[in-house]
Amino acid sequence: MIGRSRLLGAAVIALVVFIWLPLVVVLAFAFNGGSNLSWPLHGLSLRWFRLIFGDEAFRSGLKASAIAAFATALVAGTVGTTGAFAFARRPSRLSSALESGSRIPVMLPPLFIGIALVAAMKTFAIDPSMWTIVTGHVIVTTPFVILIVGARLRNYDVTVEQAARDLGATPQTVLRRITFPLVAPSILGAMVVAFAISFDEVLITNFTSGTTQTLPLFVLSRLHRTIDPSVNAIAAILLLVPWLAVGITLLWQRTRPSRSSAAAPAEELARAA
Amino acid sequence: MSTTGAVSIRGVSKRFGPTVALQTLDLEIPPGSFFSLLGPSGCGKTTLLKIVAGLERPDTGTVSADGENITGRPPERRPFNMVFQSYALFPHMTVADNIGFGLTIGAKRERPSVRERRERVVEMLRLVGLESLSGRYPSELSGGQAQRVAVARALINRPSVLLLDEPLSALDRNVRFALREELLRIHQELATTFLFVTHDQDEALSISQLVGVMNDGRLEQVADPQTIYRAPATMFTARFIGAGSFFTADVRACGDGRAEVDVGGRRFSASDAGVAAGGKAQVMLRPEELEAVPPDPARLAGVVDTCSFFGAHFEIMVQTPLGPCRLHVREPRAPGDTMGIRWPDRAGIAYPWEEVSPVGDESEAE
Repeated sequence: MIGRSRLLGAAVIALVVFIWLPLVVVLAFAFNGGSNLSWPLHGLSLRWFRLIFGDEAFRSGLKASAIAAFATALVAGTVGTTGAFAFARRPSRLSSALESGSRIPVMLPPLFIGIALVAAMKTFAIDPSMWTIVTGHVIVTTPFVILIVGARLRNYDVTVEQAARDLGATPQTVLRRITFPLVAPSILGAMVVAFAISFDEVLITNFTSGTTQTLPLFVLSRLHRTIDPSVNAIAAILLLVPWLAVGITLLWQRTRPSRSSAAAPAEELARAA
Repeated sequence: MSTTGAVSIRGVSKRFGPTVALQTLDLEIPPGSFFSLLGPSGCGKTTLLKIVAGLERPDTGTVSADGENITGRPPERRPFNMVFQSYALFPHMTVADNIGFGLTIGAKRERPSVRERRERVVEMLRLVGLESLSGRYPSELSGGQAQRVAVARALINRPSVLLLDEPLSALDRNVRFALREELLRIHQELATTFLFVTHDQDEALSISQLVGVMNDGRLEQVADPQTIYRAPATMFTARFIGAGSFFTADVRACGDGRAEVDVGGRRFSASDAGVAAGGKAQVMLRPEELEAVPPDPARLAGVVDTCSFFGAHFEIMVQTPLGPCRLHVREPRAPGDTMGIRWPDRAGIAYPWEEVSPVGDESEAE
């Protein structure tokens, strides 16, 4: 028994190292004082961050990515929440078929979606722009919102709504004062997931962006030419922005009063992210 | 007795697809009464409660409150409020906000002022004894406390009828007993009609003024608890309430509400619950009517099967040639003992004979 648990422990440690090592390397080189991508580091510095923030192309890429991610979170959050309510509250053969259909984008190769969007844009003579970027991101992120919000709607006790009706609340009041506050943490969590996916999406964006360069596209174009340590700084930013968003959401949910009911979406969110 | 809070149910029936939840039934609930609907799970008692609450619509029939037809009214426009089995407290609101919720609904000008609301919440907190917990959230309450909050929340709008859907069944035994008395006290204090749904016969018999026994979507009997226990009108009620012993008997004669019956050669006079002279009957004898005596060839004899301790008495199951028999005794008996059983000349209730299914034993197992 002891031998086996030791082996298991070693395997877990190896796995953790395997997963975390690249992250640590990237973060370490992002703060490297020297300009060689080799060990050991030449002291700590923020020079690569200064360098990239001084670059006009980087700043516009960051801005484009931020705009796309916010817009995606808003649109996917709204559409996905509406869909989740419809699927959870109006069960029928049609609605369950539609719900299965809404998961399709997750199963499609992003490359396929990208090509399909290009074909559609050509057919309808739509020029690539921020709008087309957001459209692509909404297609891939909405299923996640439906999944997360739908799970919350299905595992909560609907008798609280009956109780509110019984006390005199109209259906609109129930939605505003009972259902929405109870589901809100999940909606927010789902929107953060959408934000995180959108922020570093590169495959589909490549097809729909035209002349707009998002942050991931900027990185790719830069890697074509040379590998310099500033890429590590960009990678660190790409990593930290979604993490910060998730972290802030988790903290907010922890401090909410209804711990028992908010814990579930928080964990869902941590898993999805 | 108050003058409001009468509920009148006429010709109500309800089906869910192919299943008949309620057969056509009539029921009058007197104003200010503590009325229990009692029956096994699936008997339709909760469906009937939901129809009264307005959460379900009857297929046929009408529901009236104090003479006014309210069949088509949504729940929020009925003068009733409900206590749910699962409490259904709002998890994102404090105890005080949960209780006060009913006062924050409706058009602004009709709502009570903030000050009045606070006073009424405090009044309710005092009524259920939770003054010190007003700032807690539902996740921080015990089951008994949560149920008190649910009762207070349902009472704040001063409903003419309080509907209680198995409100005690999720609680521990001691808490359940304490809350039972609490409900009785609140009922006496407010004189609101309580319509209480339960599958627990002790609960129904101990706190109600009237009990409606339900089975299979029908009302078997509506009467006060003593009558339900002492004179169950049907075999079902007899088997569901208390724990009697049933013997097959021949009816020799009947009249004047009594039936002369013959159980395995022993003749006595039982109450007549609709038997015919010359026919067969099932006679129920309550455990407290039966007496354990030394074995005697002139009497019914049997072998002790099991003996269980109940504090005030022991309950023994005795196998007799006429079937199993349940007795209450003061001293324990060892399984395998032989003993005689005696009962008075006027004892038991005779029901028209029917095939026996073990209903009475299942009712406890829910």
